Amino acid sequence: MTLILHVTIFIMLNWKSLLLFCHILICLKFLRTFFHNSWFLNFLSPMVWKIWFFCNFLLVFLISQIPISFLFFKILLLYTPLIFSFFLQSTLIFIWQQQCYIQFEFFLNTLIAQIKIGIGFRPAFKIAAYTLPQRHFQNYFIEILDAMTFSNTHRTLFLSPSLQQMIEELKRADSSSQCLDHLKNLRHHIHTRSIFRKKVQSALLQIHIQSFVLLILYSGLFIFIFNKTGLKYIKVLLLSLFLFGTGLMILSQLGKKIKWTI
Amino acid sequence: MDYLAPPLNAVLQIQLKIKSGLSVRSAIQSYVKDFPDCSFATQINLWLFYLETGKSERFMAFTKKSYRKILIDILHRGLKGEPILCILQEFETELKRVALQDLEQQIQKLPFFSLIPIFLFQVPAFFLLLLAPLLRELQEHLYF
Repeated sequence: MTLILHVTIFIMLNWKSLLLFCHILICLKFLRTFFHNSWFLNFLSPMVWKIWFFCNFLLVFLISQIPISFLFFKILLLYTPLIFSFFLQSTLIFIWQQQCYIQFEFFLNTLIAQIKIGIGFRPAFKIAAYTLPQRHFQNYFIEILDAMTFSNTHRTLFLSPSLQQMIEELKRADSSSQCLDHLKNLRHHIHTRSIFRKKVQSALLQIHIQSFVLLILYSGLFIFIFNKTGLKYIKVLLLSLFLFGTGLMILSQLGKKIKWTI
Repeated sequence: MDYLAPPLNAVLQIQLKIKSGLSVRSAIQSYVKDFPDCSFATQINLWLFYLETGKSERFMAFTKKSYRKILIDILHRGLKGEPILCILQEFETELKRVALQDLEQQIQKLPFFSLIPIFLFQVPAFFLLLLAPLLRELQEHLYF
């Protein structure tokens, strides 16, 4: 399906399609080498691949609207695939880590329930992992169990600091004589954290949606004005772009700048 | 923004470690080691250093935030050998209440703060994009 789409675009855009083709090749290679784990690629397939391909086409469409004679845009065109892949990669890892942390809460509940009925830590861990709703998370948690035994596999798990800490706590629980109490304490800790996380995220999400809507409006308007006027008012357009970019950067940093007063 | 207020995070972490069988000192040291980027963990590390050199009173005078001061006090009592687990649990409940209050205050301020970059940068950017070519053309027509 995607191949047919690529060929269609290739025919439609002529030379620009070469750019698209290169772009897709670079992105695919980048992603494949980075996310060589099958569980991660499984996670990507239902959710992200469609968005990723849509973004590819959108990007090429936008690029095709820009007159190629201008040097700045030529340079931008050369680097766009790499920049795009880089942002995509970091966004995917962030989404993955968020999802895993949410799954961890469900996982821990099942693990505690299994241990309560008398199953040992490791078999209970496996059962709890297989009761998770999605297959890629099941595989991921089994990999975590392996990582707990062989510490050198941590590198491929894309662990956030909080997840890494959770795994350390699980390790301690595994070696502790009061395993159940330890897990209950861990669950209490995660529960408290998730209450605050939900509150903070809902507040920040509002700002992110606001800036995203502004970005779409601005991009549309910029392309329209640029198409109408060309390079005649390029200084004004670049100044406007700079102002908007600065505003967007400050908005995205706003959440990080807030400090606890207690 | 960190999801948890630093003193609340410290209380939760230290409690977790004490419950798993570590001594108060080891629990504090383990917390400091786990959060090298947290300013409060660094502060506690510094306090431990001052405590060993006998200058902790002087250090406490510089700690302005009251809840952090109280937590350091509790930890000090723990290091002296007093049982602090129950006190930490009570303090955790209190800290949660205060942290939620603080968070709600911050969230209330957030829409106002988000308006500042919009009005200072993004609105001028929109106006520049819309009006600058128009005004420039108008100016050119007026001259001729």
